[in-house]
Parts: sequence; C-alpha cells; structure tokens
Amino acid sequence: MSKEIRSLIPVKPDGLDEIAQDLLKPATTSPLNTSIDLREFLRLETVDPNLNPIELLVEKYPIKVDKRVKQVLTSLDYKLVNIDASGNILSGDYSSENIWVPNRLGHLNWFEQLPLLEHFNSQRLTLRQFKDFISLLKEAKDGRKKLYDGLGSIVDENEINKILDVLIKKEDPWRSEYLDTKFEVKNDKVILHEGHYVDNTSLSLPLEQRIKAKYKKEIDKDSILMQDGFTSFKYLNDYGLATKIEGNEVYYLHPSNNAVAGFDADSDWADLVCGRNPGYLDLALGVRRAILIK
Amino acid sequence: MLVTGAPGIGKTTGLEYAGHFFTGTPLEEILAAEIQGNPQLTEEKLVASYDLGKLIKEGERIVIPNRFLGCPVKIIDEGNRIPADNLSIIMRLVDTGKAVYGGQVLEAVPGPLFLTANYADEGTFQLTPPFLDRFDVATMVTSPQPWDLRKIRERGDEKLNGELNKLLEIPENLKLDFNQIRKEIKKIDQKVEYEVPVVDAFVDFLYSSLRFSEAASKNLARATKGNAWRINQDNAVSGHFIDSPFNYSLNELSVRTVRAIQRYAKAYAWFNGKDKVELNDLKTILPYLLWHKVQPSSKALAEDQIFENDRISFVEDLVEKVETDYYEVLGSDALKYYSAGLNALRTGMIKDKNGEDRKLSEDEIRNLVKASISKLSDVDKPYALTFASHLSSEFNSRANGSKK
Repeated sequence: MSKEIRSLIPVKPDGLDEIAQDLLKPATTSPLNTSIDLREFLRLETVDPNLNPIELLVEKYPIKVDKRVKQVLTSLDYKLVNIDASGNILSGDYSSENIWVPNRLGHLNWFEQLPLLEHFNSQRLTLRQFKDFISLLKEAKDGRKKLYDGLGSIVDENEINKILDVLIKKEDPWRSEYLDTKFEVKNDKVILHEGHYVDNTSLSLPLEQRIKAKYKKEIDKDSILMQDGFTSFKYLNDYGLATKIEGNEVYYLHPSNNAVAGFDADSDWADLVCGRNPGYLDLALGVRRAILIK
Repeated sequence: MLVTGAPGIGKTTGLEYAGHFFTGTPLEEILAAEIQGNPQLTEEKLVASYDLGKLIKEGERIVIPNRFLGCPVKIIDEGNRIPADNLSIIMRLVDTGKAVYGGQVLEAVPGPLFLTANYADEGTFQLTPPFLDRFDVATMVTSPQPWDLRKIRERGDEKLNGELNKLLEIPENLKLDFNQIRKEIKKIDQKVEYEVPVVDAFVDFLYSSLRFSEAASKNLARATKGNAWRINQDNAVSGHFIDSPFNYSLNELSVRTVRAIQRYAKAYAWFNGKDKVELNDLKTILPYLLWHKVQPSSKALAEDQIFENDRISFVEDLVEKVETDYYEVLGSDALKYYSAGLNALRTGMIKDKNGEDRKLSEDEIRNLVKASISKLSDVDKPYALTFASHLSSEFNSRANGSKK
C-alpha cells in the first residue's frame, strides 16, 4: 500500500468509512447520473416492493440499441454477434457468451440485462409497477388521467396509443420484455424477490451468482392464482399477480420456482409471464428502463 | 523583484538605498554595478567580456565577469528599454543566478536582482511573459502621498548639505545575517489538518483552478492553458463552464511561481514574527507574486475595466473567487467521495459497520474508486474533474506498481 498518496484538500475523516461502504454498494438510481433523453420517459406514480409510494421515470418503449447503448455494451465487454438477414447467428455461442445484436437488445438474458440497466442507473419494473404502468396508459387513453413525459410535458393521444400498441396490441411480430420480479415457490408460499442489483464485491463469481435482491416478500399461494388462463388487469393484486380467471385482456402464466416475470404480445394474445427461465434469450426480447426519481 | 511605476518617483533610488541597507553593500558598488536599460546593450555590457589584452597578445580567451555579476545587489534600471533579444541574455541569470559567456558558466554573487520598469512609452518594449515569470515578486510604486512628500522635503537635501555618507551608516544592531534569516525562514512550518498542509492545499487548489482550459483539449491531461496555444480563453467559443475562476485568466501558474509562493509565504510569516505560516499570510502576499504574471481574460476585464490598470485588484478578486470555490469544496460531498476513494487506494482498508478494520480486495478497491469517480461526474464543477483525475491517476499508478 502506498502511504504517499495524499489528499489535495484536507478532509475530516469522520464518516468516510460509511461513504466508502455506500460506494461499494450497487449504484443508487438518480436521473442526474444518466445521459438520458427525458422526453423518451413517462412519469409514473407507483410503489416500491414494500408498497411505499415512489415516482419513477419509465421508458416509453423498450430500450433501443442506438450508438450510445452500443458504446455502453462494448464497455461492459458484451460481444457483437453477427447475424444474417433472417436473424440466424453466424458466429458466437449465445448460450454462454454475453452477446448483443445490432438493432435490438435480444440476446441478453434476464441476468445480462442488469449491468446495462445499472450503467444507466435504472432498473426493471416490478410486476406491480408494470401493472400500474399499464393502468396509467389505459386511463390516459380514456382521458381519465393526464400522462406526462420526463420533462413534464403532456403526452398526446397519438403517442399514448402508440405506446400501448407496442406494448399490448394483438399483432405480430412477437414482442417481449423482462420484468424485475423473480419467484421462489416453496411449500404453500410464493416468495417474490425484487429490487435486483449486481453485487460487485466478488467479481470472480459468475454474473448469475452476483445478482442479489434488495426485497423479499412472502405471500400465500392461496391468495393468488396458481394456474394459467385469461384474466384482466383489474384482477392483478398489489404485487401484480392475478387473483382470478375472468376477462380476456391478458393471458396469465402463474409463478414457478426460480422463474422470472415478463410480458409478451403477438397476434394471438398479450401474456403476463411469471414462469420464464431467466436464462431465456430471443431476438425480440427487450427491457424498459425505469429510473427512481423520488 | 520587478518594480514598476511612473518615472521620477524614486523607484531606482529606493532600490539602491534599500539594497545598501539590507545587504550592507556600499552604495558606490551598487551604483557602479547597475545596468541602465537601453536598446544598445550587449552581452559584454550585461554579463562579461574577454580580457582584451590577453586575447590580443596571447590569443587566450579569459572571461572577465562584469561588476553587475559580482555585486550582491543587482539593479537593471528601466529594464523595459531593453529589447527582448537582449533580455533573454539575462533570463537565465534572473532564474538561476548563473550566466554563460564564451561557453563559460559564470556564477553571480547571491543577492536580490531588481528590474525597474516605467510605464510604456515610445522607447519601451513589452516584457515577455517568460521573462516576467522569472520575477518572483513585483510591486507597483506609487508617487508619495502629500503628507509623505512633506516629510521628504523637511528631511533636507542631503545632496546639498553633504550628509549622505552619515545617513548611509548602518547601525550595528540593524545589520542582517542572511544565513541566519534563511535558516529561520526554512524552519517556518504550516498548519496541518488531517495530514494535509493547509497552505500547500490552497496553493495547489489555486494552481489547479487557474490551469484548466476547455479550449485546449478534450483530454483532461492536456486541458490546460499551457496547451491553449492557438485558442485561448478570449478567442475560444464558450465552453461548458462559464463562471469558474479559470475563465478569468489567460494563462496558468508556472511551477516556478508555485514554489516562489510557498517561499514568500514563509518569509512573510517570519517577518511578522510567526513560527507558522497561515492562509492569511499567503493571501496577503499573493497579489504581489502574481499580478505581473497572471493576465486577465476579456471576461475579467468586462467585469471590471479597472483590472486593465490595477492588476493587483485583479489578482485579489481572482483569489477571492478561488477561495469561494475552495470553501465550497471543503463542505462538499465531492470531497467526501474523493477522499473515500483515495483512502481506499492509500490504505487498502475499510472499517465495517462494527468499526472493525477489513482489508479490501483488489476488486473492491477498483469498484470503490470507480464509484467515487462516478459520483464526482455528477458534480458540475472543474474541481470535481481534478479530483476524478487524481483518483484515476493514483489508481493507475497503484495498478502499474502492482504489475511490476
């Protein structure tokens, strides 16, 4: 250790260890830390996993792999994969490497998306937050609520429709995005793990083992629907899980052990998935950035 | 020392007499060694010449230093009447006390070197920034106040009444022992807060605050005014930072200047009978060490046109701006993030929540420094860039050191 390193300015040492401990934790979310275009985000009043009120900035559409994102992916050592016109991978083993494709985020699985999100000091929506996001969009579409972008400007009707269409309209191509919630099913309980972050204190471990959850919530299996079927967004409970089969807005796939949540849509249906393998990859898979603002 | 002022107000006379009283050098010797600035000055008149007799008779080149080099009090009167080419001859002399003639290095007798300069007229030349930088201290001499003028008149005219020799006598108890004084000044210490000497910290902050230049480079290592050789603060398009101290000066401080600041601050503290130099000592002397070197930008002149004439006020104002930033830094989160990162690099340890020391792994040190730099990137101030650069530099040194 070098003892010659000296501060340029005198500083009282009190509290520096606490600051160092905080710095070792995963990055806290702050919109100020990012170079995001606030017009591409919507303001959402929702709750954190402990159901405390918070406000998020939520991306209108899943993240696009533009020049900036490509730079970030490269800086994170993600490798570019070559694909042909049909989307077939020409090189690289996508089951074991961190890879990405030119125009869509596709080949990043649930684990691999997280370092990218953290780079932008953002997170994925939890199931409950996703439910609130859909509700807000629908209420804004019906004129019951105003929808504001990240700069505080009102979002017009055309754009609200477009955002909703990309999200839930029954049409091809198949679109999908991962959500933050991960499930553990144990006896008569379903345990929700949320607020995931990458623990960087032991970089020698594989990424999958370094992903930790800040929040853990146990709920009774009996209180939620543990079977698949069509339901309506209004039957999603405080945790964003369906409580009954009724309606035909969304197809619900119930929680399974070690699975994660996601949301898909194609010409057949929109489905809320609670049983997806977090290692699953597909070209059409994406993620939507959510940034905590208060 | 550079001494400027209007003609006929006693600049040169004052220096001759001060030189005599401070060093004990006879006034005649000082006067005989004095160089009067003019465009025809040659190296022979300034530094040395060959022994012409030996050269003609025996062909031997014996260098004879002139009286200027041999006198403990060196005065160049009206130095700005010497063209830049000739001034460069004595540049090294001002800087190091050494001169070269005929390939021979000549050592000047140690002692102060004064250069007087009247304000510009048709017979003067511009003193170049590199030349000015070699003068550690400069003062503007003003004409005497009317009440002082009366004292001068009532003192009598020693040139008429022949009492000059008597007045030049130096009482024994006022004779100065320079070696002893140097030793005492050397011993002057400074207050250290949390292992950092406070005066040095302020000087370093001042240096850092003035050197930054957005126009010079996008690379932080080269973003200094010394590299802004084509586009400077005045002709560059407006950058990101528009009201930081660096916006107010065209040039940065040289290392020579920074060293002189520390030396003179100690001397000033000694002069006031202190055993420790404090920030106030530094702030008192700074205007006189910087006004002839730091050039105001057009932004500074737009703020107050008077700075064009009164450079001492300009430097006082500039130092005040830097001081405002300095105290902002002392209470800032930026300093805490920087210090937390630096501590990790310095000690490789952290106290856990129970107060127990724990060794940080290399990965943790890297992550902590990275997080510190990330936090600093949120602080929209040039000093945050300095902190981040310092962390990055120390981290790289550490990493390179561990590879060796």
